[in-house]
Amino acid sequence: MSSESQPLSRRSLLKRAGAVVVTTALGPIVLDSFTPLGQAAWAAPALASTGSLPAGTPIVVVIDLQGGNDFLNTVCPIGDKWYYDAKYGRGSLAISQSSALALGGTSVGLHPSLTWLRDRWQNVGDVAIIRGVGDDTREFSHFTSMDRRATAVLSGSSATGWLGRYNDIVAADSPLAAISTSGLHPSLLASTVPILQVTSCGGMSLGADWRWRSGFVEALTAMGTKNTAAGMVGRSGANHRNVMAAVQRVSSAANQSWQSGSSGGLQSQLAQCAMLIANGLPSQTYVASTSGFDTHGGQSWMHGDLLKNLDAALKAFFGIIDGQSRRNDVFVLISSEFGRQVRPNASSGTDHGQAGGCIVLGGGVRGGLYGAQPTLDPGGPTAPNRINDALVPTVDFRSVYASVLDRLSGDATTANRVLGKTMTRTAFWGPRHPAASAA
Amino acid sequence: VASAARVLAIDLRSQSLSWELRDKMGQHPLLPPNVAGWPAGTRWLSSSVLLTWNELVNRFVAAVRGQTNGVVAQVQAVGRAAAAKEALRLTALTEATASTTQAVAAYAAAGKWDVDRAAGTVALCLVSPEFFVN
Repeated sequence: MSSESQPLSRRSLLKRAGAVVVTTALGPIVLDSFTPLGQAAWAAPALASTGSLPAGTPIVVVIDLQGGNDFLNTVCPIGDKWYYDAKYGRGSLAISQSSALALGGTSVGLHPSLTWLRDRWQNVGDVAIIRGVGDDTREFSHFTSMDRRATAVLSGSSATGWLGRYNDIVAADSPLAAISTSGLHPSLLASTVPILQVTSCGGMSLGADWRWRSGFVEALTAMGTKNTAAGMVGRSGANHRNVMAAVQRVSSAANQSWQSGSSGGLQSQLAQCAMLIANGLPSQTYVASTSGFDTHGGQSWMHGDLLKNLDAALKAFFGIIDGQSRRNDVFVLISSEFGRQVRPNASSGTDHGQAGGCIVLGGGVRGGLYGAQPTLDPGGPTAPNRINDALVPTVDFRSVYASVLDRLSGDATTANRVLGKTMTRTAFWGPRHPAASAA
Repeated sequence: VASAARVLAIDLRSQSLSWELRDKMGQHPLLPPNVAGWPAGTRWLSSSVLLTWNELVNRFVAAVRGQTNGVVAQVQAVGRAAAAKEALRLTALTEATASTTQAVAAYAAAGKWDVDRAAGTVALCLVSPEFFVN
């Protein structure tokens, strides 16, 4: 295999499936064309709002790295001379070839903080790295970019998120289908599916001031269960019923021995996800988020710490999930609103960029490098190959979403409904491909 | 939130409350989820909102419990038989459903009638399904 082909050659994939080249204002974005696996051990949707998620149903845990993760220093193109170029490269922020964690058979290396992830890539082979992810709108604002990533709508605003629209299709009205472990993540905003915010399974409770507690929750419950009103009041009454049920269900999933990390931190958020997944909660969509990735200054140590936390959280999460019967169902999508500019700024940080990347790992994922690395060659003194020194995207983020939705739905059409258009797919599903055994 | 604060005469400009709302309800008045601002309608009925709202209401009511002419005192003054109706009136829920009216009345009728039972009666109105969509 060629140096970039481990484990699955992009070139061979394109040859096999045919490439789709989309011409945009920024130039061509090459997308992997892919026919979804029509197989589906899991036959399509209609999730119950109670009981257990059927075994074999795929579950996504999204990790949103808020602030714009520097993907160029997460998955580092250590084989590219432009990465180290004194004038147009990463300068003092470059991760040296000797410190990067090389991914065997490729010309990239992971940030030295990502030791668990490297081992997972090497030994398990279910880590897919998608490079060049972005969109072609030249948007540099956090708020707009986050909104677009959450809604998967690039123009105007949308009242619903991409996972919310999915849940509206497969789990309409279910109070347990959309789990957010930090705030109400807008990707889960739906028309009929409320977001269930779980900061702590064990801490989920409904109470009242001790001086008037007696009979309070009972009265609140009666308001919901006996409410037969129509319209908004009826919906609100139904919400009361749902919350009572959700509180009971979530608190019953608490598992103190799995609790780890500081409260509210990513590791703890993923621990709550693991508890709910193991409990069989009828949900396919979990969203965790962590901030601090807006590394405008002092990036070197800060980004190292952020990625170390990410690596530790993943290690703890898969440490639990790998021992569960649903281990082949659960996968993680790591995403961020954009990447960062190539050259360091005057504060030893990096400013808002464009193309970043996604990492998908876990059940069903065929490990490997996907998507083309955006060119680091500036193309001349005025760097025409860059957008304000940012990398030009090669993969539309919605094509990653489409592949995730294919997996969740088990069919090839739901993704198109959710995204409002037919996106080409990024083909990271398939048998595991551990580099270690292939070597 | 604003209507509950008005009923209870609480100053909402408190910075700590703002951040608490953001952290717990995912709804910060200054940080809407998209450029269109905070959406109205069903999304406010998110499960976590009721949990946090219940917690905040209990704290709001605890804060005004001792006020001489406050809402809690007014409800206590009318006596337990009329308490549900008075509490619903003061929280602007005059068209409450039978299920809510009965639940509040049953709560007021239980235990000892004192300032705490009156406070709980007010709090219940503020977490009723009707209050969310009022």
